[in-house]
Amino acid sequence: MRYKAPLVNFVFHFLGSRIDAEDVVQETFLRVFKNKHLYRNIAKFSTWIYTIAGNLAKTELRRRKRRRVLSLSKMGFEDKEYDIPDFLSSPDQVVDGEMKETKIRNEIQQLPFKFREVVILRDIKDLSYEEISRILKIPIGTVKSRVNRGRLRLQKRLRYLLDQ
Amino acid sequence: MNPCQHFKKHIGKYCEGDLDPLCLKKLEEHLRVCSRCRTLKDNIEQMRICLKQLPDVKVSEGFNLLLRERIRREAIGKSPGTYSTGGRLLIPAMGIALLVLIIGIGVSDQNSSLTSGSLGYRTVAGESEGDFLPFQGKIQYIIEELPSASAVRLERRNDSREPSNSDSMVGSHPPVRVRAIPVSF
Repeated sequence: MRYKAPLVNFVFHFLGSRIDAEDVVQETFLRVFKNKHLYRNIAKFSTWIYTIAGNLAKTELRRRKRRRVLSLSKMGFEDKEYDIPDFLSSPDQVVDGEMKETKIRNEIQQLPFKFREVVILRDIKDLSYEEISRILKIPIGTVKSRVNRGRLRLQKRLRYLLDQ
Repeated sequence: MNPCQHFKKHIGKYCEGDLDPLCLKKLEEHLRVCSRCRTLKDNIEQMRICLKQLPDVKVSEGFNLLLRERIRREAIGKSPGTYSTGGRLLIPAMGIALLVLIIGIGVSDQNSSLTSGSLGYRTVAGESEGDFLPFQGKIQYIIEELPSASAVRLERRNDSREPSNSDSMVGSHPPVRVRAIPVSF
């Protein structure tokens, strides 16, 4: 259970909802339990579990995307199913740390998935490039390049916050 | 390549101190003269600090309980699957056991025919005692219903106790009487 909190946080950065993140992590542990016989000692257990959680988060995002397309077309005045980030707030309104944190989280979620996952793993979870490469099953060079591009994109989006 | 483009390309490595000395020197020279790149570098460094300082979300208290419950349900749900895996092995095993039993009966019947022919009458029960004790009833029942030589002799012996015309039966096969003995396994 020592992976519980790191995994929930990892998935939370993808989904932006603690409840959904917990659901995904529950499913992750359940998959680990079901497929424990498939685990080989070649990779670290953390790598394996992060890979499962990341894939499930990706699936959840895809599902959401489909649902969003459907529900936006059917949405009435009372419906408020998704927290769509407020891009209209001026930087002046962003005053306290909590607001800043929310903004950063929202901006992370606006990044394309391939950049988001590497930025989360590298800059938030503080994993090494080798570990990220193993988790995402992509070459280290690709990881480095994506981290760099992801940071540049995120910096562009957060510039108004960072310049203050 | 434009020096700013070059800097952007290597800013990740620069921030992590992963650049070779020559490249590092070039970038630092560029930073001294380009304020835009300096701002970019400062922003990225600040952003990385912010990302690292993002507070963790707290996992709800019921998480462990719910997970245990889900795993328990999964384990219960899986038990028939485990059973069916065993069942998959059980069916061929039962088939083999049945085959062995049939062959064993055949061999036993042949032996009893041969021994009864050469050495005279021996009861099947006596033969199976000890070795095939659990299958005694079954073997006895099956052999008795087969028209083997031992059965014929047994029949003849039984008939000889009766005052009927038993001598007329010698040399011919009398009808075999099947006695149902309960199967003991």
